[in-house]
Amino acid sequence: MYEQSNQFMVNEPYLSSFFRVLTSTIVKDVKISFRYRANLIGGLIQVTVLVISFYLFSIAINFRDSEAFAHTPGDQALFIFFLSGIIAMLFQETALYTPLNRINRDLYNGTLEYIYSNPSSRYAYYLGGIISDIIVKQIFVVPMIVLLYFLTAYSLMFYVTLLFFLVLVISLGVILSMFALLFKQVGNLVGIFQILFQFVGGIFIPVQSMPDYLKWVAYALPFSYAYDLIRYYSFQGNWNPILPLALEWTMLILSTMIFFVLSILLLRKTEQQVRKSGLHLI
Amino acid sequence: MEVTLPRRLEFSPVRPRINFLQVIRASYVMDLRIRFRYKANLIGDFIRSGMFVIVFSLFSTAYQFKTGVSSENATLLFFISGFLFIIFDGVALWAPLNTVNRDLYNGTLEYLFGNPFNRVGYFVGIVLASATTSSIMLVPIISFLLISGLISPVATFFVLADLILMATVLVAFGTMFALTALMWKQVSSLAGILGMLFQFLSGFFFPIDVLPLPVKVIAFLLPYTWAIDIARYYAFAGDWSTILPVSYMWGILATFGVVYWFLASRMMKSVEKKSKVEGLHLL
Repeated sequence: MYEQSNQFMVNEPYLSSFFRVLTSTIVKDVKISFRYRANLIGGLIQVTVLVISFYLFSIAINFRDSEAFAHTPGDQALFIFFLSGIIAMLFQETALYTPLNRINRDLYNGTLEYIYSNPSSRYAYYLGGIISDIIVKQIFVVPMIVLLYFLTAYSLMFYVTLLFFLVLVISLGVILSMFALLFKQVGNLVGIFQILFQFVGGIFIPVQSMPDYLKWVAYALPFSYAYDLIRYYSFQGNWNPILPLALEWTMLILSTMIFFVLSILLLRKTEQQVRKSGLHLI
Repeated sequence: MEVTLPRRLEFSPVRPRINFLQVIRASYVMDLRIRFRYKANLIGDFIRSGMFVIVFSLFSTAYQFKTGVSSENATLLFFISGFLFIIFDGVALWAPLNTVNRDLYNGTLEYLFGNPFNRVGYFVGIVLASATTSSIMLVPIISFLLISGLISPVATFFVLADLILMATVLVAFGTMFALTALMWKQVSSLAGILGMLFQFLSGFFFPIDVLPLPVKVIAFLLPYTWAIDIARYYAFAGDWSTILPVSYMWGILATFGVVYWFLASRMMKSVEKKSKVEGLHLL
């Protein structure tokens, strides 16, 4: 006589493990990215063109006021400044565009409802998408980090800063996913954030050279401290941070924690909202 | 009883064709309507173009060029006069690419190619609509330049004429790019690379003097390089050393227009032939 296995007799609903969802999302997204090799090669060429262009830009210009530097900057200083900025920019774009594109894709493919009607962690799903993008981006980022090392021989603290920065990127990415889910047309909002992070946050222009009122805007942006610390360690301390170093670390850790908690809370809130009003576009 | 066909149907050897200008007008109006439907996007673009003025003023406060322009105002004018043209990136690259992708995924591309109207007209209309909305983004920037006194009204007139000529060149380029997207599908990376080349090699960010000779040759092949140099000549009231005498540069830019339009129509014929043999499917 056929006996049911214990597995089917358990009365509890089956829940996919958080890590299983995370792993399968990462594997799926990485596989998709590598399927479209033309896009990867194109991306690599784009990053190379960007680095070369900023090298040429650094040859053509000088800092008007080198207040940001502890000592007189050498010829390479501008290029190092831009190179570390490009690394930060690539990760920051992950936070801004990956979740937005993912939500849009699922929304237009009609797969978003499935994701919300399955007993799996949505946080893991969004997190997986962002982490997979970060993994794929290593193809572009690692050569730049190596080049930066040859130019500056930065310390281990550079990586520690980068790690905190990535947690912040992931948290902000999940928050923006939720905004995209609730308000749909957030493409331009993201564009405005991008300008704020890149130019006011200090990726391409030192915050130290900005007028006072914009410095306050920079202080309010979560990424500014990460960019500044990346610069501090890239220049092996030959960089005047916007705030005392200990305070910058405190701000970075605090903002990382706040954004991480916020992302979880917002996800819960969005789930409740979605159950009430659905995910339709109209 | 014998039915006699009307004479018009019986003997008409000419297939009905929709007028070229009518196609341009229809696709232009359609695309413009779609663009104005999403007002949030337009307002966002408007705000962004204003924000770029602030960004460039920050750049000019933070950096100075080693040669040529040095004062903060001159550096700001250098960046903004180049940016006026980079705004039209979307016209040349993203608008045609997005249109082809939209039609491809909506399944309407086959219909377009199965109708007896001019396909160049369809793409021209859409690219023109993109040029129109991009022109709206110029308003805050040109207003800023005039109000701040960085540029005179006469110079503004010449810069606008330069922009119109450049937009004509880009509409042809955009049509060619749409056809490229039609044939090879995955061209978004190519659009990204071209966008970067337009931005960095055209002299928008830095004078092309710093480029090594082989790269400078590539820069000369881009219409942006000439258009931006012409604009800087007028923006700096003649106090700008141009690549060639300014009248020659006008001629070169106009030649780009003629060549691109010729190439666009030739390319269209070849794409039509190819699509009739192989179809337009994605697989």
